[in-house]
Amino acid sequence: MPKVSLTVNGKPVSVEVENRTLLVEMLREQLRLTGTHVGCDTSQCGACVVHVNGASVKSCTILAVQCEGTEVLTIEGLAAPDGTLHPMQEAFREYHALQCGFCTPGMVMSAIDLVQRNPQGLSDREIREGLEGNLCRCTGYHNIVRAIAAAQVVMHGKASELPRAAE
Amino acid sequence: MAQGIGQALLETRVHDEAGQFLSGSMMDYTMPRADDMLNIPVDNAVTMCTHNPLRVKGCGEVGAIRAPPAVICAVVDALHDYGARHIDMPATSQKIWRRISASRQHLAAE
Repeated sequence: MPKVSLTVNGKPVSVEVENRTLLVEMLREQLRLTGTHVGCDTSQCGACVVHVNGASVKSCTILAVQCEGTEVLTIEGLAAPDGTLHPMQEAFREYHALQCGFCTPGMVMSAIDLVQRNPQGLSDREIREGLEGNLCRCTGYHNIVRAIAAAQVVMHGKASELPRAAE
Repeated sequence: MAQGIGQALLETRVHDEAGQFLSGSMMDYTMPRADDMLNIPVDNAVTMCTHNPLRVKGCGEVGAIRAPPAVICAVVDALHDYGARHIDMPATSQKIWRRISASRQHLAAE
């Protein structure tokens, strides 16, 4: 079986995989990083989004062997080692941007890439368009959009603290 | 509310004559996406129940139940000039376009 060597959440790993093993299968089943979810297995729902070399990728749609030598970041690698949440995670908590939580890891990873790609800032409409690859059945997207709008202010250094959600 | 609006405008199960399910993926079934939705302000309109001493009633799934009639009433109202008195859910953009188009052809023939 081929061996794939890559960096996952800052740690170098080498894993023996089958040729057909998907990145998400390797992450969940071999590395036991089960924060990345599988919703549809057909690249529609976006629950499995991770970052590969900084870009958001649906990990059910890329083979593990394609990730040789890359840096992969999953939801588990976002928070600081002392537990301090990433501004996007903090915003999802503050703005109640999740209900069942199944889509959340993918939403957070997609949202971070979306914000990083748009340093000029995004309108609510642009955030909604940017989330086209991520489905959510619970929230109606409203609070997810609010959370991303708040997080982008902190991520672009325009505020040191997250604006609090109104009661 | 997204579920109710999805039910009114997008979501559909399609079977062929042999019973084969055709809209089996979330894309074919058409679950609402973030850009299908708007920011919707939410408020309370309190009406006391008159049938019990506590004046309360249990309820659930408010958005999913109330959104389809509201959306469909709005669609039928918007299509009033095209002779629409009823439209089956989901009122997809194709269905609305067909209704308008058929009405125009009908008018042109007169």
